[in-house]
Amino acid sequence: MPSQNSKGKGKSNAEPADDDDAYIDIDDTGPEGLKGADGGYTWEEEYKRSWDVIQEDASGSIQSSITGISAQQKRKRRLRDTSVVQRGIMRHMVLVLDQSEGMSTRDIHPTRIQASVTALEQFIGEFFDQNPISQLAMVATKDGLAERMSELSGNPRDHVDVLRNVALAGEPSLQNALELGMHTLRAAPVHGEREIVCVFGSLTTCDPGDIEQTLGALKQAGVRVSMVHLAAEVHVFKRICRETGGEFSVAVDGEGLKEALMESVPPPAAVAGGRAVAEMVQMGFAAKAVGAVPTPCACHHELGFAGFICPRCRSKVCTLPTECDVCGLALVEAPHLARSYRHLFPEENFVERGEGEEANGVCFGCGRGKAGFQCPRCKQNYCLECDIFIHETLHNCPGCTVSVFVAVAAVVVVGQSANPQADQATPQSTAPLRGMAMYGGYGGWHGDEYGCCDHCCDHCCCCCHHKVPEVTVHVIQPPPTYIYDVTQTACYTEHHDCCGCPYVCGPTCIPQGEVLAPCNAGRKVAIENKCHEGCGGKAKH
Amino acid sequence: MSEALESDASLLVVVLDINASAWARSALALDDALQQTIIFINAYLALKPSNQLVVLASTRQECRTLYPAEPNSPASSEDIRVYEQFRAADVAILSGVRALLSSASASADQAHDSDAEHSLISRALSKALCHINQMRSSTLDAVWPRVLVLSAGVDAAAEYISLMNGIFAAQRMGVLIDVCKAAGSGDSVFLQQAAEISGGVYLRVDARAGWSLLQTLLFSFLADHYTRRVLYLPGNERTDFRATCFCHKRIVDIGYVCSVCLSIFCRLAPVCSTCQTRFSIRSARAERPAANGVQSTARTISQQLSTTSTTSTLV
Repeated sequence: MPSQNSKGKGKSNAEPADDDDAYIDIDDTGPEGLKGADGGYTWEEEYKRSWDVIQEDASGSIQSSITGISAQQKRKRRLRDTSVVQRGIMRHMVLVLDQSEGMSTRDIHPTRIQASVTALEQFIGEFFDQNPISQLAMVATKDGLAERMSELSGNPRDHVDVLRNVALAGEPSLQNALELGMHTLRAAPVHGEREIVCVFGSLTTCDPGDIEQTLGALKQAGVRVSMVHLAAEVHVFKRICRETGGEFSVAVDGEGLKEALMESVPPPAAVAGGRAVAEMVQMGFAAKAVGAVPTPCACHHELGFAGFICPRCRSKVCTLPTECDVCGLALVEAPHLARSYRHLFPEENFVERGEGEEANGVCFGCGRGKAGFQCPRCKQNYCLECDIFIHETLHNCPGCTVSVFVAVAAVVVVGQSANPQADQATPQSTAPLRGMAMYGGYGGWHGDEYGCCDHCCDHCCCCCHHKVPEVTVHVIQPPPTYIYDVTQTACYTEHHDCCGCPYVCGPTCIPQGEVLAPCNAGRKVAIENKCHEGCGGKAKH
Repeated sequence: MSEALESDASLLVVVLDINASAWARSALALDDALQQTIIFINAYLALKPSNQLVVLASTRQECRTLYPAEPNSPASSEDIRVYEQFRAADVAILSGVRALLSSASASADQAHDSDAEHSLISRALSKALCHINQMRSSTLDAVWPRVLVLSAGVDAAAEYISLMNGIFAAQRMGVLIDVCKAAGSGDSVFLQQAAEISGGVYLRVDARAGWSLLQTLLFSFLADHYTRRVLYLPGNERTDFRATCFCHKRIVDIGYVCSVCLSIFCRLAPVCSTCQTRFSIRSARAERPAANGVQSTARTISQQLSTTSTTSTLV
């Protein structure tokens, strides 16, 4: 089944609809969005038999057929964005991992959470490899709460370590996670890019307030939100991604998840007129020192002979790049800066030479493969293997010599122009939301338990008496045809004894004191009323 | 990546820098250096029958693969007294260098400028990595790749980014870059970094002080991945990774880095001289205040700096 990337589908726009439709703003509105190539709905299409694609050749071997298919897949990955634009090199990213019970589903081998952890470990390694002067933090969401797994830091070890012990519980809360992420990013300097990347497996979210306000705050703070969903396209998730300028994608298997995450590795193009401000950043170039006796480092308090000395406060840190724990100076080495140059001057895509043209002998790079691709600048020919290697690992054409200063000058000219994606990033005007019912696929936080429809409304089972529709995961859901009683919307945020609505600690402080509130299972428990952020504590049962 | 075993084969890519003007000033003649290198290469091939070899040569103008030779190259007379693999490598290297030098001297008249001693090490390194990548993907056996750069020329500043890209790719692929500076005065800072980052060895052979190139090659660069774990190789003094500022070419401890193009400066400036970005004012750091506030700050600062044209356009 192909990955349902949000980019692939037609543009959806909330057209002024009549009253019935105003509350069900399913994405891909209009029948076109859900229709396949031959005009029918996706679920009406004939089942594709993938094994029919493989054909035996004259000698009865399927080798050539398989080679052809894998070459096609490689070529698809080959083409990249190579425009020389200004990019946010110093990035601050919060990774949000859904740790709800929905992540224990086994549709992605071995389980969604295991696959996500593996993919995230690879992502973290790759992220710091390509963005050495960037920082990452991790946030988990479960039980309707968001909690911080790791602080903003530039050391991949800090983040990979916390992924070892992941426990699943309850429902996720997108709003809490975003608020916490936003709060974490508030500490980031103004010249840095601010991003939130979420991995979600749950179709539902359990939020304390109006997600619209969070969305507004995200936009104001200039935070890009990207999301990889492991099940299906959910409108609210997609809308948040679209309006903040991020990417939403659905991963149908482990490979798709990795690929979708890796999309976030290269630094994003800076949006003209965006929030990020150019600044001169003070950085210390720490020199390595080896002492005669082991001394503790300022960062981990571990004894060691070697270390790097902060040029401002002379304290010792054990790894670079980092921020000095004593004086806060960013400590780097010159090669760390050099590592980011590849994003500023990306290598151009090679041009594929047609079958008719005479291929110019062997590959210029490895001297072995059949040359089928040409560098537009130096006109040397390369094989597919070298082409992919040059663009994914080396970032450097062996035939070209680039003058640094020419390339820098190129950044100046083009970098000032607006990013073509900027237009898409601008918020699209939508009708004001009334309650939560605008969102398709929102709410239904205890649908499994009570048999409430999972994707149609935010009401509790007692409030909406719908039959449970058949929900096929991995397929964009057809627009529901039922009509809601919108007067019941308030049920979501108010506390109803009848159904055990969620009452979770929100991002704002609520008064101290004991309040009885039902937990997700419907039992009444006392909440210690502290918010996550402002006053430092967390809501506990 | 797992550890190297004793039985694992190596893949050695030798990059010969045969820049004629650099070798002309060297105490060691290019002929002698080539002969000694060929002895080293033969020793490498003799170590293990499964050892693989690629030889690249680079001049100021171009970079060519000498060995394995292209299949259509003319076969030389066979000599049954020499081991076939040695002969093939020796003939390919010598004839390749000769052809490259003659083509280089033909075009040398056009270039009599100061950078005659620059050689295209970054191109050669990129090509070497392409070779390694191709060989890795075409075999299932464990092959441990390394690159030996026999360097003679001087660093070309324009090569910095491409060379750094190559170094990082090598680091990621687990390729050691060994550097033997066989000719030329002074060390190559770029190649020192290459050896340091990739975990290889950097050594400078000073022929005037009586160093022997062959001895250095055999003793320090012949060891494969497996052997290197138990050897303490010379030449691993820590390289200085401090940066040089773009404005005065001074080595800086604490520098200011442009957040857009990552240029390094030794003092604060209102405009980045590399990418012409105008920087925001530091007092506007916390949060973007109302436009009035910034303008007034800009005005005060511009009065303080008494520069009119640049700073007033800051907002």
